[in-house]
Amino acid sequence: MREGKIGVRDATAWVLFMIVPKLMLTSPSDVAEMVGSATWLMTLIAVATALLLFWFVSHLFKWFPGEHFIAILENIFGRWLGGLLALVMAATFFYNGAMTARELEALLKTFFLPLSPPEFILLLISLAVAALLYFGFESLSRTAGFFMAPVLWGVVLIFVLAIPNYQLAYLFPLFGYGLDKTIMTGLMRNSVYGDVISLAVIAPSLQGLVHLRKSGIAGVAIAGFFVAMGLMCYSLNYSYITAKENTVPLLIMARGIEFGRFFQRFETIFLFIWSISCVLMVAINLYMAASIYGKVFRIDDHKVMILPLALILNFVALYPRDLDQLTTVHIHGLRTYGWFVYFGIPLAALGVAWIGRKRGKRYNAKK
Amino acid sequence: MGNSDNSLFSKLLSLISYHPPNKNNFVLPENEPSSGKKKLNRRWHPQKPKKLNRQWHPQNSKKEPEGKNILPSAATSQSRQYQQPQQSQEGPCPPNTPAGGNRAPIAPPSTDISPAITDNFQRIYAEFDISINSDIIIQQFKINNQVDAFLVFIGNMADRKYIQSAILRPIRTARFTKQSARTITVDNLAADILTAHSTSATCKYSHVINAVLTGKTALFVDGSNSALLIETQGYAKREIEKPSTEATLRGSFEGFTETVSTNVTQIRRLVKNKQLIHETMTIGRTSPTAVSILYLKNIANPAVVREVKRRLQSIKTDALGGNGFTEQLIEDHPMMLFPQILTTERPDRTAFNILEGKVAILTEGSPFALIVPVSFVSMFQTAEEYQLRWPYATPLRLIRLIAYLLATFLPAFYLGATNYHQELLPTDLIIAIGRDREGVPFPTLVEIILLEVSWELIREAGIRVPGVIGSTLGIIGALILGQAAVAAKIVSPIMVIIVAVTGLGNFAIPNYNFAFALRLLRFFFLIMASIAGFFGISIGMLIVMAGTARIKSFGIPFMAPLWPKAASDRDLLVRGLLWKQEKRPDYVNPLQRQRQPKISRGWVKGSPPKGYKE
Repeated sequence: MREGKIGVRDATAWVLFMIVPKLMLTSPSDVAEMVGSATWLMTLIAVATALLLFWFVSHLFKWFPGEHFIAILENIFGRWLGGLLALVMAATFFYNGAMTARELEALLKTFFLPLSPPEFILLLISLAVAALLYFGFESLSRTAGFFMAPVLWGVVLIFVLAIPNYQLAYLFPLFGYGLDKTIMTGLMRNSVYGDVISLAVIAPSLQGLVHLRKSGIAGVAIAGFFVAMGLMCYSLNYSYITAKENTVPLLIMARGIEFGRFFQRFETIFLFIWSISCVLMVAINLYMAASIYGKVFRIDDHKVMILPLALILNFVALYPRDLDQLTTVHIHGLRTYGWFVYFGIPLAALGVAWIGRKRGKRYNAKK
Repeated sequence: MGNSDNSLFSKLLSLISYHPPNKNNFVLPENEPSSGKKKLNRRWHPQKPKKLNRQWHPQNSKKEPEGKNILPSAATSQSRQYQQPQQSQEGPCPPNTPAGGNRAPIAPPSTDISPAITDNFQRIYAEFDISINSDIIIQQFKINNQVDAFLVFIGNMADRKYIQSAILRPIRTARFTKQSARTITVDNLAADILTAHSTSATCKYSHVINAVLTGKTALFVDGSNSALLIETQGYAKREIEKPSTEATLRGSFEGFTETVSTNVTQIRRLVKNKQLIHETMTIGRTSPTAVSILYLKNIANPAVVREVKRRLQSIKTDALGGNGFTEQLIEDHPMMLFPQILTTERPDRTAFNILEGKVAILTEGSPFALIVPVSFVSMFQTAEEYQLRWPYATPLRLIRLIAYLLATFLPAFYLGATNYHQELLPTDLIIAIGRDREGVPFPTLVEIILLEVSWELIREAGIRVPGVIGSTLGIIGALILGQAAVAAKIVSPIMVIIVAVTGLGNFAIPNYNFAFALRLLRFFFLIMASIAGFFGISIGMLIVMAGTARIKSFGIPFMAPLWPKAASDRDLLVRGLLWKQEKRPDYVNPLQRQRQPKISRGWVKGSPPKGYKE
């Protein structure tokens, strides 16, 4: 697949849009339920874990220079097993995208478009995603690059405008349900940042290992900073008892912003941030699925997969029975155990390559 | 032959029966002499046409001096290189053979000019269909009562007085010795006799025909296997006037005209640099139209210049009706809404862009220049901004940015807020809107579309109606229509305000093509807002952005220098200090990035003169 070239900035935006929208959806209430008031501390541990794992995984690209992750998998495990593992990753990306689409649909239906049927909202999301995929990898990453600053500034604005509602006492107990639980949850929740592995799939577009590491580390670190900030602000805004009850915590936080009679109900303005970031997240996840699928089955043009993927997205997104099942089963499962796929498969490949002393074709030439 | 009393028929008869003098020194072939055998072969077997039958000819290349006093003798003129016509050279001139000489009995019509004036006359007569074509003039005469010659020109396009004074009078008053009379060729005439300031010789009929069609006069002399093309254009053309679509309060008041040569002169007056290259070509099979490109050889990226030439050369069409045609035939993405080429009618703006390393394209008959490559930032900029101090220019640019946003999003935003997100509006405002809308039978979307279409109608009618009435019609039409529509409860007053502000925003956009794109996008966003409120607008923004990120203008990403990020530029949304704009735009990829030194205002480092007090 010819994917073109992107810079560190666009690759960082790529990672950011796979991670930051999670803060804007249902995940914060999930972690509030898991670790109480120590959500921000927990996520910092998750960031550190994800960075460490990514650092290890990036060694694969030192041993297999110029190759993408799917080729590396096939090189290490053979065509069949490597391809199968790659398809598991593709399915995970697709599943993540579909569940995010469902989360966004639930948010829109609950707060902004109560009269529109869920299928209609999902259809709109699918159409937008299909259009973004149609324009291709470079356009998608540049669009992510374009919207990165407005979305991040918008998130910061919510944090700042909500300051009058903060109460420092809500931040305590500092370690939530206990330090051990916080650390353990943090170690597991690195799945939130596991999407950084998507850079491995598009590695040849990143012009080398240095760019890959730079954009991966920058993406996870910046996203981690924003997620930690967001969780801290959310903890400051609501006591952990209330925090775990809110469906879409950050939106509720934005709704609480009020400056006099005229400046209130800001969440509608911030809807742009929600919509753009979440649709981009779905599009990027779907692109990853299409890209991996295309690489496994040697399909050069990803455009042939757009329509089927958009259609399947609709059906898979409608699979969770209700919002409760979506958050407690699907999203919780993805954010807690997703790392088995995101980091588990690459680490297994790394281990086998290390033990078996497998190296890429260009490894010796580069040396 | 020069006797005007003779009938055309008798002239023809005398031409057919004419034999040139036996001893006549003919001019050498145009390029290089080669063996006579080879020349003869080529004489009767015209070269196959090249793939692209156009070549570029730099206009600032050194020309051989053609002054009367510089090339006095026939010997000199023999060794002289012809100034090539602007069209193309398809090979050297065929050898000079005496009329009625060694010729094959059956041959295809030659593309080369014959030394026999009879052949030339008949050929020109036939090519221009002179028997039915009333404004093509052939004027025949004898030089020194010995050598036959004739002029061909278009009566309404050539300046007859100039022809008289610069061609005919010098020939008639010239005194030839017996010896020199035998060596009369077009070259001798151009060098020694004629007073015309710009001449060129050609050996191709096609050149002659194209030149005559552009207002030049062709001179054929018996015995010469070439014709002299003399610049005698004398048709009526518009004078330089104020630019009508890019008016400024400060800065130049000169706009382009429909004549390429005038436009090139205007640019050359502003860019006084020997590296400014002006290349020309013609495009169009049925009606060849002159197209010029201008660039600075030492600054413009050669790859971009080559690409511009490649695209222009590859065009095969009937005719170019103006630079709008050229734009549509060379742009990268015809299916995209946004223009990928900047259009301006200001010579100063064109010159400024050339100095930045861009390429300007001028088309005959159009008072606009096309600039490539460009990014969306160029669509924000006006010529006036650079004349103003930065604290004045920057707010202007920001206001224009607001105008862009209003022109694109305001109706959609209003529709989304009133139909889907009423919670966003303060209670007093929503009550006021509700009160105004009371009695209006249409939903908000229909209301907006009604007014938007009316606005577009007024605008279109205002442009079509001539002169002052047009603008009056616009104002009166808008006022009366708006007032009447509100009174008739067809639309609400706030809707009139929304549409009027949107229209004003659109008028504030300096680039006509870009404004058009935004006008269309406004309707797209309106539909998206009517489907899903702000969520619909967000989806629309994503799609438009992704589409725009894909656009390239001659290899340069349209969204550069923002996405992909290029080196820092002090002339984006904020117009930085002129003396700090040390480098040319990075995204243009010029050969020389540095525009001025780090300290361009040398006086800040020097000491003031004696007696100067701070």
